[in-house]
Amino acid sequence: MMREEEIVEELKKKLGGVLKEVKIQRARRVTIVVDREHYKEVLKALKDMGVDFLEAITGVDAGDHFEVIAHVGRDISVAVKALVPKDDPRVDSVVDIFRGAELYEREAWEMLGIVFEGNPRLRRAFLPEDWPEGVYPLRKDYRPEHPKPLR
Amino acid sequence: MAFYLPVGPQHPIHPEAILLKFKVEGEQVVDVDIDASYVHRGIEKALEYKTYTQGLYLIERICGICNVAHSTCYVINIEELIGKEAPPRAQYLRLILEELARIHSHLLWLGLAAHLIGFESLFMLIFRDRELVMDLIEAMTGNRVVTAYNVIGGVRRDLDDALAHKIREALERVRERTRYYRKVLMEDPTVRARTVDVGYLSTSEARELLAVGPVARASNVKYDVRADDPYIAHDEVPFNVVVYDTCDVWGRVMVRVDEVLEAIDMILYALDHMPSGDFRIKVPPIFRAPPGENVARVEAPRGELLHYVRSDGSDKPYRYKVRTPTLANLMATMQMLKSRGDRVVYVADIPIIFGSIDPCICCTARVLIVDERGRVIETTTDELARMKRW
Repeated sequence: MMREEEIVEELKKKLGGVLKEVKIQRARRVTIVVDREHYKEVLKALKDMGVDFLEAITGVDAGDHFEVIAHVGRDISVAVKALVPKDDPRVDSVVDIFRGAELYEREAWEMLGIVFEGNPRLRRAFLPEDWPEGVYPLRKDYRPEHPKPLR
Repeated sequence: MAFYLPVGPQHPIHPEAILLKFKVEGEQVVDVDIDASYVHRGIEKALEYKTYTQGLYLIERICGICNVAHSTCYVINIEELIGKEAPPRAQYLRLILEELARIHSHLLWLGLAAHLIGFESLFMLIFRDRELVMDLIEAMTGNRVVTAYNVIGGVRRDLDDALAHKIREALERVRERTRYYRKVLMEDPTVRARTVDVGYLSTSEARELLAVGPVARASNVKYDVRADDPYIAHDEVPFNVVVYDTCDVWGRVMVRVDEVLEAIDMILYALDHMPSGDFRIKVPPIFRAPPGENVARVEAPRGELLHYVRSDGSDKPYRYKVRTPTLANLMATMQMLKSRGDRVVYVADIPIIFGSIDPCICCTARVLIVDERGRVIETTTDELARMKRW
């Protein structure tokens, strides 16, 4: 059995009910979709299974909801995708599992307004000081002045 | 009594604009804060307004030195998204260019490292030999820095026998010189005095703080995307993952020297085993990608580079995310730059420690910031206080 399948099987055994969707896209690429309540649980389980490297956290404005995607793994890249409702954009922070996650979470918070509960330093870090409160540039309803195409 | 020592935004230790705010007690650094907000363009948002082909031009300009890594990552990402694969010959050509870029990047860094510890003649010598590689890149792609060699569906130019011969010849010379520099860097008492046990980052710290690339490998974390998640032709071209367990600046120097030697072998192997056939397939300049998402990773000279793309079926990416190696290494750098326990960091060691991650500020900042006037990492003094261990 391939390692991807082992990971998926073990996860299903541990947390079968909470995984909304599990997909092996190709060799070394796995996508797991969960509700936000189980996002941290899944990452913890993955870390216990030896997938101990968090590559990045991507925030996406997917139209009617947000998605927080944690890319974990060295040889295999597992994307753990949490679905976050737009009217209550909160999700558990994973800094206590992956210490280096702090900057990634802060970036997603600033750019999309997704609150990572438990991140001790969820403050302005990347945007200008005079950036207005509550304006999140990577949201789809934000229309930038820049970039204008050069003609 | 502690006082604050600003280094930057314009400062001789680093040509790129960055502000390092050090809190020092006498000669010892007790705290550090980084502000990298001086160079940035909001590329992630900009990419959402560009077609996939236009995006390639923008991606290449995230960074001059690692433009090959960015463009390689972008094209394999988009090719996988649209379900087209470049022909085998193109994969080998991409590998050759990627490794040439790694050699020139590592030699550039080795020169700068020599400069940062005050070894100016070594800096000049290494930069002279780096020119040999720059000439090869120019001969192969037509450009010295922003190569514009990778395109969606393959590469822009083929490589003929005359050029292959030229590459072999020049690389023999580079290898001979690199072996000599390796000897110097291993044995020279000045180099050792300035780098051994300086900028310590233990294996567990490197794992916890999610360090990547030569920084991780010098701390005995065996992680190299080329070996762990092979892309282009890396599953066919053999190489060794260089790992050192000294956990200091000296280890980071040696990892890079040895990687130059490995890269030379890889290029020579790829030239000998180059498949024949086309070097690109035709992909129309404007195309619609099927809805979906994809992750691509490459081993840039500075470490793992990750690109993520989401498509909604239009001709532009719905979301494009770039996580550069320098961003991943920032937390680890701040750890290295602080005195902790009996590991004292002196002001005089700041340049070489900060330099030892091979920081690429324009990569990091340009990717992170979404407006033209941004500031970065403003509250790090506090976040560093949390990490203090003394």
